[in-house]
Amino acid sequence: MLHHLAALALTGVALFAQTPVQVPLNHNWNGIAHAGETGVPDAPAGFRSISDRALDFTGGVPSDPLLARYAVVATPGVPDMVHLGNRNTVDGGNWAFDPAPDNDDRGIRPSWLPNPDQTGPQTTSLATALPIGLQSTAAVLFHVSNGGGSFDATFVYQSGRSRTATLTGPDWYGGALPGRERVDRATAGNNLNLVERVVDLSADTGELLVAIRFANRSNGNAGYGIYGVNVIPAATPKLVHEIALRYNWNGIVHAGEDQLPDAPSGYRSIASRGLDFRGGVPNDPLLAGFALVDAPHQLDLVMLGNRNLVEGGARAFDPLPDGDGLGVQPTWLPDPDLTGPQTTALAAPILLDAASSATVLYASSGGGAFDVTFTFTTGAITTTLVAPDWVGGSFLGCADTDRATAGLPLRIERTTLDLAPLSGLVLQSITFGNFSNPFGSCAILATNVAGCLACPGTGGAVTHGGGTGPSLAANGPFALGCPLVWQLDGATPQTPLGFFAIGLAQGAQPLGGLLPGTVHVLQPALVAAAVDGLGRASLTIPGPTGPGFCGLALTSQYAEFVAGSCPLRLSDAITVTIGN
Amino acid sequence: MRSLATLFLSLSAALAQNQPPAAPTITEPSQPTRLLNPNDVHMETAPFADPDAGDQHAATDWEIWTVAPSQRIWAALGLTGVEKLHAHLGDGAFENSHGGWNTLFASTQYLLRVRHRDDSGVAATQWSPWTSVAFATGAADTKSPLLLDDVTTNPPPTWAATGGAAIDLPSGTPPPLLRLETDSRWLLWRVDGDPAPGNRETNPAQLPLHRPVRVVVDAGNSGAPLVLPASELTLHTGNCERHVVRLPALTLQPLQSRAFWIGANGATYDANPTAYVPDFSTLARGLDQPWVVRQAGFRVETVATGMTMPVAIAFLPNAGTGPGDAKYYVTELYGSVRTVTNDGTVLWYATGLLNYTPSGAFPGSGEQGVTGIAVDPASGDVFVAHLWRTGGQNYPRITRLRSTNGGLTAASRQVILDMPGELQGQSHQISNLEIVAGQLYCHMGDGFSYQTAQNLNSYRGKILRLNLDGTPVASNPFFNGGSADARDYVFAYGVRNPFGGAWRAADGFRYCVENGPSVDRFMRLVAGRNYGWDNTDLSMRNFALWNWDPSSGPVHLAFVQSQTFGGSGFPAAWHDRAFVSESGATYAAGQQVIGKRITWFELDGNGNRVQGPIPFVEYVGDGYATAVAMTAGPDGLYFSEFYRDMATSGPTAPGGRILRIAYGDPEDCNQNGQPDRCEIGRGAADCNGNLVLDSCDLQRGTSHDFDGNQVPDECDPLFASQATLSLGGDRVDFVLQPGGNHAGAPYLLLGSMTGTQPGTTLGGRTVPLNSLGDPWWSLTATPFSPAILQNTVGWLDASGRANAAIVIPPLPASLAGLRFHHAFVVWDATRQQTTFVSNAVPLDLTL
Repeated sequence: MLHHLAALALTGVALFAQTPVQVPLNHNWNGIAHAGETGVPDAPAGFRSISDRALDFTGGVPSDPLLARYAVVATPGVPDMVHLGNRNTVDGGNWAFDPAPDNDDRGIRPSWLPNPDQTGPQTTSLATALPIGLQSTAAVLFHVSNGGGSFDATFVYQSGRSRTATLTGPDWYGGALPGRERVDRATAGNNLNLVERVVDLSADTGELLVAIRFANRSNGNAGYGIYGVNVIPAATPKLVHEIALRYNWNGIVHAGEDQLPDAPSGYRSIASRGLDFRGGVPNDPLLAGFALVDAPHQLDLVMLGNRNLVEGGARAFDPLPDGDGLGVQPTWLPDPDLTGPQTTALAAPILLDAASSATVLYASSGGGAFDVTFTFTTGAITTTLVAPDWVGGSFLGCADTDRATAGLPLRIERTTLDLAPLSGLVLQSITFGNFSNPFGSCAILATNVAGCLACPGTGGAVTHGGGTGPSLAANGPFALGCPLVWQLDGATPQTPLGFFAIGLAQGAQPLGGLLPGTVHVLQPALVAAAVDGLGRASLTIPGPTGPGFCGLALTSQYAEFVAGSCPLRLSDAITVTIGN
Repeated sequence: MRSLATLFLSLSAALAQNQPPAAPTITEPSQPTRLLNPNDVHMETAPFADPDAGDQHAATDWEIWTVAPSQRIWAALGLTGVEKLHAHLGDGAFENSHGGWNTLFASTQYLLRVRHRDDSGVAATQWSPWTSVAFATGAADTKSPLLLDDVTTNPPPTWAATGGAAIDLPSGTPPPLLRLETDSRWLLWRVDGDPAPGNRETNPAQLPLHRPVRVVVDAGNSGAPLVLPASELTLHTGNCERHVVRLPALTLQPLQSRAFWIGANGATYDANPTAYVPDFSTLARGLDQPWVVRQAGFRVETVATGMTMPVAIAFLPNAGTGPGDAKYYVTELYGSVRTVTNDGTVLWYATGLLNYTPSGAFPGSGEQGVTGIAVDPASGDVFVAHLWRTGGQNYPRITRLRSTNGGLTAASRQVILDMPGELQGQSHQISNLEIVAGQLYCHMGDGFSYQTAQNLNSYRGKILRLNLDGTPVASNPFFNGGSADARDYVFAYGVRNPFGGAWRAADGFRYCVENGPSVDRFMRLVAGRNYGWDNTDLSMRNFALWNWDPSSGPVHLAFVQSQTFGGSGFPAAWHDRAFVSESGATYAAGQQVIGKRITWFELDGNGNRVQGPIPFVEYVGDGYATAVAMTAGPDGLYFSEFYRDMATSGPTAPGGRILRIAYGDPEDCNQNGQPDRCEIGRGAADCNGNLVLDSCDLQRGTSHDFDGNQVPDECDPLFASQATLSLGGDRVDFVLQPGGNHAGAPYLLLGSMTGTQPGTTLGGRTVPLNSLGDPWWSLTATPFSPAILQNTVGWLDASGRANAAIVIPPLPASLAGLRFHHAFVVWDATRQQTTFVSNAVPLDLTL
């Protein structure tokens, strides 16, 4: 529907997305012509073309938006790409290495190349495994000589699973980037291209990426140069909220709820079956992170449907108790028609951040689709979730309608929805509705949302200066409920004499004639800084959750003692204010 | 005076204290990691904020700058309305390095900056600070997803079989459904099967952000497979953008699903149902017509099909107007000329123009055969440039073809210039032909022997000029009389592969585009000039108005100009511009960074390049078609798809098409840039519901407006079937439609022969008919004859309508020229009041 944007007041929408990680590849070839690498085809440890041409970086890395996103090698004399091919056979063997230096265009095999045959899998193991999430992709930057072709990029996960994508590129000739020619002599030549192909890893959400492998050239006459891989990893949620849904149905069979189909306030099936929690909530990874209702005689799910109409009315409530499997309408159910929207207003509004998502647990008798609407202070989004019929899963189930005798196992669906693009919006309510199956029913068991808590005012960080060396930064969100983090860089590596000063009061006390710098944290508490070998450390304050902390300002500054005439080094101070 | 002065001072003080608005928050572009479509950048800000309570958002300035160099290249200044918060490239103007463009450059870094203005009117403080965000565009060969944040209900989205009826999903448990959702699974539109006719629709509120979209079809369980024909979703966004999503035919088993990513142009691609990053690697259903015009107001349409490698097009200068008359000719590389008639029928004009069976690789030896074509405006004879095999080698010749049936088919052929010994092949062959002022220009490739270009005794590597009988033009710069030889024919030389050429009337020069090894050239041809081709790319820069570097494969050149079919229907501002078809790499699939487009150049009066090449038409499909033939026709700029686009067996497969770029968007009849459907949906008048604006109904003659009230007559409360009555005896039918709220009320159709002013008061309302002393009024007010006045009095039906008629017998001719008017009233008998008075409809008596 058309709504004016003015009605959507998106003042809070933040503009950051998960930053791609530039994966350091296991380079095996020096094949980019950098300054000093041209005109010396026989240099023992120098540049070599993967065929007869090369990218020209002799004037530095070209200004190009594609290249700018990758960590391409800008220095001469080192391997700068992953080569998939065999220089001795590329282009019909025209460019096989010379056996001895002769100063023609073809060089000798360089010292950094133990074996010219690099047609086998070329693997990079990641030093740090990367989590895969709903927005995860891997972008691969490459080109292909001698007619172009395809190859496989395989993404290997810690679980042992992998995903292989076949990437195709045209011949490298005639692109937008400066090129060199004449094989290893690398004289000025025609432009070359670079191709970026993006592999969708979002279907592997939850996996940890541990290695990337390139193999299976389609063009055995070509050389493949792979210059970079950028992976967008999963964002790590800072805080996950179990939503206290406004349950409208007691539809899970707990201990003491079976065999009582006419209990006035007891269990009732949403159709003819129910999840069997008589032995407690199952210990199952699918349910991890949720606190499902684990007690009898309580509403324990959100029902969408009309019990009197499911299965064509075959499960309609009895008008009077009669001991059969169909119970009477329970006292907790004022109206069996629950086909309309079922809304839960959040007790504490949630401020979405760049790691926000929502996960829904649900099941359906008969199967069908339903909508989940997330309503914000400004605007709303709706998602359609589809559930198959629940018979045939792995969770214990009860049958015989409200009598709840042991029945076929049932299935539960779990779907995670991406809310990160809505970072900055404040979630106020969640609505379930629009179930598609008029003769079925749907049970929403639980929902959680990753995000911080909302405050009435805005938050942020202010830098006060005063530093004399180490640098301090604070990264948002500076929101209620989420950790507050200050990150230090440039400290003395592994110093035992560094500490963070943190306090509620902020002022400015120059060290005057004694030492340079200004102390901004008044009446501080001191926290020893665990400075690593690169001079980095961080200070993390667990995010307070009480609304009274909204607007609270915390100031931190790093200080360390060092030997020398100036024994105290300070960072700038940063005040963080908690808010949206 | 004092109070006024006080008020003025107070106002001045208030204005002086005005504070600037807050710097805007840019909400789109929102994802720095995503490369944007250079043709469509959504720009949005959060709503206006101002520390001065009561200040309102008056306007917004939007600017796009290149990063290197830092230069403003697009601006939309002072936008109001919805565009204060949401702008598109079409809302502003390109300038500086992007002057003349309608899109951003591909693979380029940009900076968007925005500022808001309040309504204080204080120049010094009314503007907010600027806010900037960096973004980059994707490569030209990158598929861009369709980005949506809303599907408007007005006009409503539709889902219909291709060329057929609306899709009505069956019911089921659960029912089948179709949903349009974003990559983040946010719902835009949902359609559920329903037992009642039609589907049950869900259309959520506008999303906070534009996102890539996909469509998912769930089969549900209706007890049978869900079988759907190829279909289209047609939807509009809140700002009137129209999108057509093309779904393939589907057969889904119960509970099965299929998902498709949607490209920016509506093509669909198979999607992994459990993955949510757009993937355009597997086409599900492409575009029937994969070309888009990058300039507003133009359209591309297919006008002929079934060609095989169409190389060049030539129009009959004096074509007949009958549907079966020949309109233009098309050469096909492998030996034929096709005739296309006015009704689009494709005939064989001539076949067997090659004396060998063509074959060979693409790119390579397969690329030779019949090329250029020209039509003599005097005789209608057709001249064709082609190769001829002698002794196993191919040599160029020009053949003149003559028809005896109005140009539909050739009856005879005559070789007017044979060039034995001039070995040619593989595209570096004889190519362009054009007749200018009775002289035939012929472009000759160098036959891959670059030395020939500098040898005046060779025909190759030259621009030739000859008479229509094949003799050289005596004024040629190297004509030396005697027996004709190559030198006599040379108009210009030193060229490599000058495939395209055209005459520009504005300056009287011939222009040429040609292919170099790595650099292509666009140049003006000057008699006797050596263009210097010497087998180097450097030589391709001689006399170049423009060099394509790297090569883009320019093939044909055409000028749209008033001297050629009056300018082909293009606006005058577009006249005298050069258009170039750039074929790009041979037989390349999908959209390309280089080639597969038509670009334009602006030249000044002396033929100097002012700007260009600027994309005009670009290929956005997934197939193999590329632009080759091109010429200006009577109703647009025509070009060919050299290769069959989709479902092809190779480069020589039949299925090439002729397309026309014409000015005027049929869906934008008032050419205001808004699709008519959108305008209608947003309240503009379409009283007869034919999805054409009323004003356009009238302008285009699909409706009449006899009473001149700017409303189609069929929509007036009183509609007359004709505007005149013949005195020889005639009948006019009236439709009375005052509206449903008058259902069942009595009406009376009245007439006057003395005009409409001042009218007659009747039951408290003024009827636009004079009655005083008017005999026709008297007669119609007292229905004197049921034979003449048929149902002119009666009761409106349940829908508030009635039909009446006036049938006149033969009348005296002296009444010719008399004008009658009719109108009707609706009467409330209870209150004794007139409740409705219609418009007056004129009716002229004629012989």
